[in-house]
Amino acid sequence: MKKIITIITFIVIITFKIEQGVARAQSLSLGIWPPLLEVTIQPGKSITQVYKLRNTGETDLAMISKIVPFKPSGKTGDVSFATPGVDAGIHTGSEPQFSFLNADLALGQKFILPAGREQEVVLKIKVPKEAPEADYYFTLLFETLPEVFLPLGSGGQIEAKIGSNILLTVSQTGEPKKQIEIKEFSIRNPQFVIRNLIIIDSFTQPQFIVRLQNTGNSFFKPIGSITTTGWFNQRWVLDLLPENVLVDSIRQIRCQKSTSQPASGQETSAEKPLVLPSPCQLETKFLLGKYTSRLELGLDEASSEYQNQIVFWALPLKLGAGIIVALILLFIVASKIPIKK
Amino acid sequence: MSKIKFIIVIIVITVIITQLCHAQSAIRSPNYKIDWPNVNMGAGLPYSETYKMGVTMGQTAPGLYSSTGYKIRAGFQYIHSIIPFSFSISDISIDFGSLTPGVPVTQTNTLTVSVGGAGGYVVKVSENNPLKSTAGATIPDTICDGGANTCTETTAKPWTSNSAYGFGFNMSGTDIPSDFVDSTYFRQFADRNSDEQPQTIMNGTNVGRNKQATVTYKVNISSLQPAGRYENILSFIAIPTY
Repeated sequence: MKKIITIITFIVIITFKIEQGVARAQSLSLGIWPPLLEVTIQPGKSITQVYKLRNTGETDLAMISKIVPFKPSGKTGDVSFATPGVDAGIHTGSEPQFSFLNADLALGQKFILPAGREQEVVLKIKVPKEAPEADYYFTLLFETLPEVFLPLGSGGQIEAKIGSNILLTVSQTGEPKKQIEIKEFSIRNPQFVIRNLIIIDSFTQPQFIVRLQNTGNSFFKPIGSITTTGWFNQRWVLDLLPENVLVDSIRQIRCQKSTSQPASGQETSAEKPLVLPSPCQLETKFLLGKYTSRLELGLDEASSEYQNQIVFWALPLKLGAGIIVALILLFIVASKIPIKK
Repeated sequence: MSKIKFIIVIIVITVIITQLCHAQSAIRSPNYKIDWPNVNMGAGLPYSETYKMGVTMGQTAPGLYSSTGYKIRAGFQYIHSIIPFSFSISDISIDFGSLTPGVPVTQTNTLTVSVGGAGGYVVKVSENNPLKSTAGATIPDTICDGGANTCTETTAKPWTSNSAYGFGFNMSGTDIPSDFVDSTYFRQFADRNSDEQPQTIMNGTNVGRNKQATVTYKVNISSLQPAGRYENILSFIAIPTY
C-alpha cells in the first residue's frame, strides 16, 4: 500500500512539473494580408484598403498599430525605418494621412486580438491637396504589447511586430517620371575576364547579375528579359521578375520561373500558374563558342526602352585541362615502362 | 433485437457525421489551399469622398483596382499565391532563472516565417535596453571573447570564454546571416536606447512555408554583478519585402 501511494505521489508530482513547464512556454503567431499595397493617387484624394490580421497562436494578444515611414535599404527589398528626429523632415504636414475607418478601433489604439481570431481593419489613406508629387513609403505595423507576467528569474520579454509595406505615389497625371540606370549587367561566374573578354567553362551554367538604379521620381517594376543567342542559333530567354525598384535605390533583379505545379511548401490560386523568383541562370548542359546576352526592359510595361548586352565565350577549359593532365600522366607512365626489344 | 441493431446504426451514423462536421480552419484541394476560409465574406465598405470602391469581396486574392485618380494593387502581382505572410515565435518570455557568476546560461526560441504570398521577407531584432535590474544595474551587451573576437550588433564573433561576461545571441537555421558561422558565434542585441537600428537576423528572398531559425540567448555574469532580477524587452519585427 505504501509503495502504491509513493508511486502515485511521484506520478502526480512529475505530471504537475511537466504541466508547469508546458504552460510557461507560450507561443505567439501572427499573419497579415495583404503583404504589400501599391497605390498611385492624385493629391486631394483618398482611398481605403482592408487589412486582415490574424492571431494563429494559443494566446490572446494585446496589440497596437502604427504607421512608420521607411527608406529602401540594401538590394533585395529590405527596409530601414526612419528614425524620429533624424528624419523629421518627412513630417511636413502635407504628407499622406492615415486612419482606420473601423467603428471600434482607431489607428494607434490598443486592442485585444483573441487566439485563433482575425481582426479586419479598414485603412484610409488621405493625400492632402498640397502634398508634393513624390513617392512615399510606409509600413503598417501591428505590434504586441509585452505580457503582464514577468519571468521568474532574470530574462527578457518578447514583443513581436508584423508589418505590411505601402508604396504610395502621389501624382496628378498618374504618369510620374520613371527613369533608371542599368548599374550592372554581368556574369556572376566567369572563369576568366581579360579586359572585355569573358570566358566561362562549357559545363558552367552562366548566371547573370542585373542591378537597376531608380533615378526617377517614382517606383517601377522592370518588365523585360535576357535573351542569349549562340553560334548555332541557339536561343534562351530569361524573363525578369517584376520586382519594385524604389526611388533612390539600387535593386538586384531576379528572374522568374513558371511552374504549373505548386512547388514544395507552396500553394497557389487555381487559375494561374505559380511564378517563383529564381536566379537569372541559363539551364544549359554544354556551351561552346561565342554567345551574346541581351538585356531589354521597360518600366512597368514590356518594351526595349533600356538595353545592354554582354558577349562571352564558352570553352571546355576544365575538360581540356583534364585531357592535358591525363596525357602528361600517360606520357610519364609510358616513359617509365622499359621497352622490350 | 432489431431495435438494438437500429440504435447501433443510428449511433454509428451520428458518430461519423459528428466527426465530419467540425469547424474548418482551411480549405484544401490538390492544387491549392485557402488558409482563411472567410475570404468570400465582405471585408467592409471602403470608400472615399470622391470614389466608391464598393465591397472588397475576395480581398485575399491579389487584385487591381483602378479608377480616375487611383490605381491600387494589393499583394504581389507576380506571385499568384493566397498564403498570408505569417510570423511565429515559440515562446514569448525568456527565463534564465538564477544566474551564477562565471556560469553561462542559454535559452532558445524558434522563429517561423511563411512567405507564400510575398516576394521575400526580413526579420529584425532589437532590445529596449541591456538587461537591467530594478535598482538600475545592468548586465552589459556581450562583446564576445574580446580582442580580435569582439562582436557587435552587426557582426558575430566567437564567445567561448567563461570569463567573458554579458548578454547576446546566436542564430542557427534557415535564412540567417552568414556571420553566425557556428554555435559559438554570438552578437549583441541592437540597443534602441543607444539609437542602434534593429538588425536583420533572418532574410529570405524566396517564397516558402515554415522557414525556421533558432535564436539562442546567452548570459554570463561576473562575480561583481550586483544581485537582483534583470530584465529587458526584445522586439522582433517581421516584414515582407517589397
